[in-house]
Amino acid sequence: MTKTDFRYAVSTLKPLGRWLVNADNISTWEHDTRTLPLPYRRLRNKYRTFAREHLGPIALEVDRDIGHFDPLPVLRKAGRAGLLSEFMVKPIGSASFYGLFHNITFPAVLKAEELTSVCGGLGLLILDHDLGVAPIMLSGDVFQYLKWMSKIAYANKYGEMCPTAFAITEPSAGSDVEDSAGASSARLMTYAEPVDGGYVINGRKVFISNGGIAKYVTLFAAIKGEGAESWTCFLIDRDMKGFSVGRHVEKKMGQRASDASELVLEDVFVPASRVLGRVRSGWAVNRNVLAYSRVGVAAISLGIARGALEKTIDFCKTHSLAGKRLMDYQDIQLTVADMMVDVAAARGITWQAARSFIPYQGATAGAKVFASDTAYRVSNSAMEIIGDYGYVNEYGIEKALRDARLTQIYEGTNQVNRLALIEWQLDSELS
Amino acid sequence: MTNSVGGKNILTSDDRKAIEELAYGFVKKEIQSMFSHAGADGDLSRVPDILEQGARIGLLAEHGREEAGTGVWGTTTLSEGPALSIGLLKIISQTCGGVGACFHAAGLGSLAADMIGLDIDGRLACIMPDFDDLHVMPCLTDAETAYGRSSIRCDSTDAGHVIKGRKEFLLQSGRTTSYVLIVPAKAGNTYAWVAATISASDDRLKISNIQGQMGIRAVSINNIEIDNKYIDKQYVITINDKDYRYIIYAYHLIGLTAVLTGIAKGAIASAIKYARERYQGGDLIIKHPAIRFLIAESEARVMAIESMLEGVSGYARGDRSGDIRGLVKYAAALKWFGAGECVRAITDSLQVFGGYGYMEDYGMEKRLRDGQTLKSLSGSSVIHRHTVIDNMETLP
Repeated sequence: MTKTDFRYAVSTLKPLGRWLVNADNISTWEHDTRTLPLPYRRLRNKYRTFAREHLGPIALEVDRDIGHFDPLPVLRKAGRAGLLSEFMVKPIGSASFYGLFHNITFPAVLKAEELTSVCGGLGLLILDHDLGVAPIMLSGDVFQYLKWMSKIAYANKYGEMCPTAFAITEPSAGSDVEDSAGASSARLMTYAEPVDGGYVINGRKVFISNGGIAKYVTLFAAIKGEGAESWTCFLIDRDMKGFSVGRHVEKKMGQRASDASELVLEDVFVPASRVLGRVRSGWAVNRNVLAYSRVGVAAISLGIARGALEKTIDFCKTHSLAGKRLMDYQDIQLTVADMMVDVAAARGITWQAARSFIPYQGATAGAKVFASDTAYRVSNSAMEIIGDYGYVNEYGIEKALRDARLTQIYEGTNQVNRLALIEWQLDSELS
Repeated sequence: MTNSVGGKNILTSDDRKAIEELAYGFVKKEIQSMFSHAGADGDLSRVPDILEQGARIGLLAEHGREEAGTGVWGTTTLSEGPALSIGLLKIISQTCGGVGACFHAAGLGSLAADMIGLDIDGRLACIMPDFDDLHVMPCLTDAETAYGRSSIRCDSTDAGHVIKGRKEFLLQSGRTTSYVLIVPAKAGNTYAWVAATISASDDRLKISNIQGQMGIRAVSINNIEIDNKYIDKQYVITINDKDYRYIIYAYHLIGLTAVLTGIAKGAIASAIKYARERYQGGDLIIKHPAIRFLIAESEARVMAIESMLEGVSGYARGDRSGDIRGLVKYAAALKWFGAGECVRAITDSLQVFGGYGYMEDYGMEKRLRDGQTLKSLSGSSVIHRHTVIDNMETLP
């Protein structure tokens, strides 16, 4: 440290002057954590520890050899650590009263960033469960919430696995079911026909994350003869007669640890008691789930971007050229600085969108667009910095890029999210 | 097919058209069928035969093979510059970037031997050393500087030459028979660049394949280690003309960018086809401004890079033909800037497909993996930026 170094110069200040300088020699992660209330600091630490202990060591191997990956042991560990029961208070679930009723989104955002900073796929595998149960919470039926969430949270926490999945996408209706304009003329093919005591559902859903392993699926279907406005949310049990998993897509480009499966429904009888919320309220539930989940995708993107940044820094600290660490070259420092700024900005917009108790569509769609574009940009920079090593699997950078690319597509493509932002603000400030 | 003017082979526009038609037919018959019953990267076991067939019908240069003069990096490059090779690489890579990269690597090995009259036949790969510096490509420096810091070097004595060292991340197509080495050499107190060949089956050569490469899996990316290989004097050529190294280096970057451009063009064509079939909101998605912008911007990016490729071809013709530093600068800028724009065009085209783009079904995720790999190959953007500024005319 030279005498002109800022941290050294601080020692020359008067005590009050020293107090007014933040010269703590700590990481960005630690700085950011300090800005959080104590319960959130503990959570952030807990999630990071879990990710590093249980996901980090297997991340690359799972990505390379997805055909032999059994997700249940990972989910079981996550369940026992309380990561699959956070929408129900203790002792049945793992949420604190403060955590659940102060803000349910912010802890989910912290969790998503920490898990996906280590592995986008394994992180998604765990996070998909929260998406799967979201309609149970957001349908607004307290009795169903208590009944199903208790059962699911208890099972996950105490070892009898009960993962869930969220199913909206259909073969000819992807963006259509995430956008108001598209939904009115969507080519839907999953319909529920009212019968005595319930409904008979026929149709197909595709690209359903964790669809291949979910015990319960919150599935949306239109009432027969009607359009998307009649969507109703059903809680489907994988053991129901007529329900099957079709094409099981393992080799998607990235986030491979979480499968994207086709769900086939052939005359599946669903009792009326399994309708979540009201009949025909599914479209509203779906849109509200997306308003929450998009900030989750922003956090996933943020995590992947941070992971790429951390791997790059690690590479540049441990590799040298001409006897000089890569990190000591100004060329490298300029790009790493841009990456750090990008990640910090993505964290800012994501945390801001998640701070309100009830997040709104405009903010979460904007956060999702920004953070996912950032993740892709940061991963690209990471690949550029480390050159030829970037496209080799063992350094994890190319995996980060593949993982990042998906965040620009799911939960509505970024184009759909841009339009969602406009739609939300249209009446208030754009008309 | 070619006319001879002043001892040089000159292609007419009809010749070019015929060669390109031949390439389109070859792609349809040989390369597209690679993907009919295989995974995203196609049936890779067929790649060596595809290359052999390409060389046989004259689409791929192979040293000592007369019919391949008009193929990728064939002998017509010496008289006409890289334009024909660029065109062929674009056509091939529209269907498979990996096969395009194979054609590029094999063709360039042949051209490297042709340019200095190395007496070696078969499928060649060209090796230039790595450097222990972030700022300069080794082949662009003088022999003394390069010798001190190069990953491969040659020690010369009256009896012969001993070559040793290591080259990482070498592009290599199927069934390479020999390597063309372009390395700095030291003889007493004098230094020179030399060229030599080493057989792929030589027991002094260790080849290890990079495992888990992201894309262009049709081409092998290898690390090569040479353990004190003795080469007799008569098989080593001293390269007095420094332009030779510059040209090979520049053509390497140009070829990689041509492959990237081809991949991007293929991606855009697929995106348009999909957008004309897929409905959203009651309309074909080709009618949605969000989709139209993605495709239009991708097309504009590729048009810009094609203009640059056309521009760099001009350095082989007319007044610019002697401007080797200009060629190197242009090639480095092309690879750095062009790779970024092509990958952007590919990723935007993928976006048109929504969730399907991310799956193997439409080949878009493969295009993105191929593009990203090529973008990182042969020098990061940091090195290319330095190469641009080091070769600007305003500098001494």
